[in-house]
Amino acid sequence: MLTITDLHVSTNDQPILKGLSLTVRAGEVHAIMGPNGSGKSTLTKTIAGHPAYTITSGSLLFQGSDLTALEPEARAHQGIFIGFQYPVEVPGVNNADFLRLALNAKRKAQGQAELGAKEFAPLLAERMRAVEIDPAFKDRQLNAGLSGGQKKRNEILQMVVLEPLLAILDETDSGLDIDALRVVAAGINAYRRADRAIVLITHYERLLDLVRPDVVHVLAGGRIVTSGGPELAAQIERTGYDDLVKAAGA
Amino acid sequence: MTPETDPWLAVRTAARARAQALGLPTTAREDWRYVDVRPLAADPATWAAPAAAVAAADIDRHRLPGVPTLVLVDGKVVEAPSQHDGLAITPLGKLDEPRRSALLARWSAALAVEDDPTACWSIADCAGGVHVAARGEALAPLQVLVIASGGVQGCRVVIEVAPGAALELVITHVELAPARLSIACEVEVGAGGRLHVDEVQASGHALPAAQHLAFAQLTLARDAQVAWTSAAQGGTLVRLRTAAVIAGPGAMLELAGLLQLAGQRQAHVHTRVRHAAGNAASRQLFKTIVDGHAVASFDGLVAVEVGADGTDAQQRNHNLLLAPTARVDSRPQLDILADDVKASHGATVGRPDPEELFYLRSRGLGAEQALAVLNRGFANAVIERMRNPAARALAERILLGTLVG
Ligand SMILES: Nc1ncnc2c1ncn2[C@@H]1O[C@H](COP(=O)(O)OP(=O)(O)OP(=O)(O)O)[C@@H](O)[C@H]1O
Ligand SMILES: [Mg+2]
Repeated sequence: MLTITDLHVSTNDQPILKGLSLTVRAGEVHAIMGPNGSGKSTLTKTIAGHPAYTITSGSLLFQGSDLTALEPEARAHQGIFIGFQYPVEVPGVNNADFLRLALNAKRKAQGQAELGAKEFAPLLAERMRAVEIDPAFKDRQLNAGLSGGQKKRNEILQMVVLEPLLAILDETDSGLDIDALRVVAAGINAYRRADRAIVLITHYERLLDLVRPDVVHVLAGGRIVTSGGPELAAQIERTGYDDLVKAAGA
Repeated sequence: MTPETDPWLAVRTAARARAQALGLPTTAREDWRYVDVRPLAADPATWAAPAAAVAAADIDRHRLPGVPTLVLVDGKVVEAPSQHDGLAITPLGKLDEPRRSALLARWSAALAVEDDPTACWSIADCAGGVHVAARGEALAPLQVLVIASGGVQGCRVVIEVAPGAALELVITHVELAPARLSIACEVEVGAGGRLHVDEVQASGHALPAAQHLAFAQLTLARDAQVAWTSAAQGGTLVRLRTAAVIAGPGAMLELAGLLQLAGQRQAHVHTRVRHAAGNAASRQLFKTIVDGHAVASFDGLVAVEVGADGTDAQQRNHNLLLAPTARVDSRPQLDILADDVKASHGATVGRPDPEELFYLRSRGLGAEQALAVLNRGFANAVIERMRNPAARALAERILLGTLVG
């Protein structure tokens, strides 16, 4: 589904990703771990099409076709969703109104009929129940005035409403209380499907105990330096990154 | 009526003379310094001739759903709701004594100290108007639709809210053809009375030559509450001047406005809030979105007079610049002569945040739609003050640039 080959990305003329390769297939759950500043969020924003990140070489394919020339919204329409590490606050914008606009933009791009407010309301209510979000959230502003953890949960709500094929969740677990982490993990597990792929970026094995990944990668110095099964996450939890990164010669 | 018997003529003639003595406004004057005043010197030939009769369809398309409508065309009341309990609606021409004399005396007194010629025009050009008096509690809302068919039009709306009474109005004004419309609202709210106004300038940008001068003169007695929210899309020249006097303790005045301007349009907000009595509050929130080569300004003054102790006044002006070629000026001012006053003012000018735009686009909104959502978010604090859903919908269409009048 996602095929990244030897990707080099710069921001402000500063190289951040330096030859990153990663393949994610439909039905899989991947985890990416790595030290602070190693380029994890840079990868997510590059995939989303953020204008501040320039691909200087390498390729980025989604379902076999090149993403790099596509506007951010076109990537979303194709089924890419990033749960951002720092969801942006958009003051004065109603959460439910925004979700309906976003869903309708995607439906329109896919040639489906747009949903009226009356049709959307029950869908939203159902999805809010599924990820155990307080119904009052629909009348809140888009991230503005939400706590850190609430913003992360709001990202998960957006995911289940927009139903992407590829969901990349950048430290969605950071800042969640223990109960919220369980709820979010359950939501992610329920979201798993043969035709969908999920990438979890995290610093903590805790999340990976609740959502078992098929593959765990370590991103360091702008590259994937090693990959393995869930046991790799356990090893990182015990010994940190230093030895791993050295052993990989990065 | 012949001129000799027309009781309004003397004061209109005096207003004309006063306006001529003052001359056209220039940018050398403090209160006009941000305005492109050239359109004020327009040749009268640029105006469309006033229509002998306005087509019903032209009135109907400006009616708001679910609200009875009071329609004024070129100052004349052409339609009034047959029954509106607790509300007395009287065309100015039919105003009885002593109310007529009182009104004329008020105009004369205002003219004597008026130094804004356009305010004098609103009397000189006054072809009529209406007197709306609320005596009851919790009346159904009323739309006041003010239409100018062409020419130079003055229309005055006199609003009286009796002590303890409540009134909710939606005022919409529209030019159907190139015209200059002065609309002046003179408002008195009695002790404990409540007035809620949503006001929309529903035309202008489809009519390059339309000029629009709106005046609101408000007096609030003890414990009166007034909330007045306007939305305008500008025109060749649009100016909204509000002068309020807080005359009694416990009063609360909330003024809010939204300007959305593009192209070559201009619109200017000018507010003067005078706290003559203490222990009362005023809130002002004006937001502007400017694009293209549009020009906007906010010039606001809160004056707290000697003895108006315990005043709580707030003034905010926030501006969103969509293009570097657009211009916005902001001048919030405080003049405090009393003690124990809580007063604050602030102004900001910003551009759309690229991170917010990216976030919205990453969820599937196109670039234009994302900007529209940001604009809507920016304007929300003003729009949500509008109580009438139809007025709110008009304000949203102004934001989207789809309100053509
Ligand atoms: N827009 C930007 N402008 C300048 N530098 C940037 C920008 N974005 C990222 N960087 C730099 O790129 C490097 C990688 O940052 P990135 O946010 O991708 O790290 P990360 O792996 O997500 O870290 P963390 O675990 O702390 O979230 C950092 O050195 C950061 O300072
Ligand atoms: Mg990060």
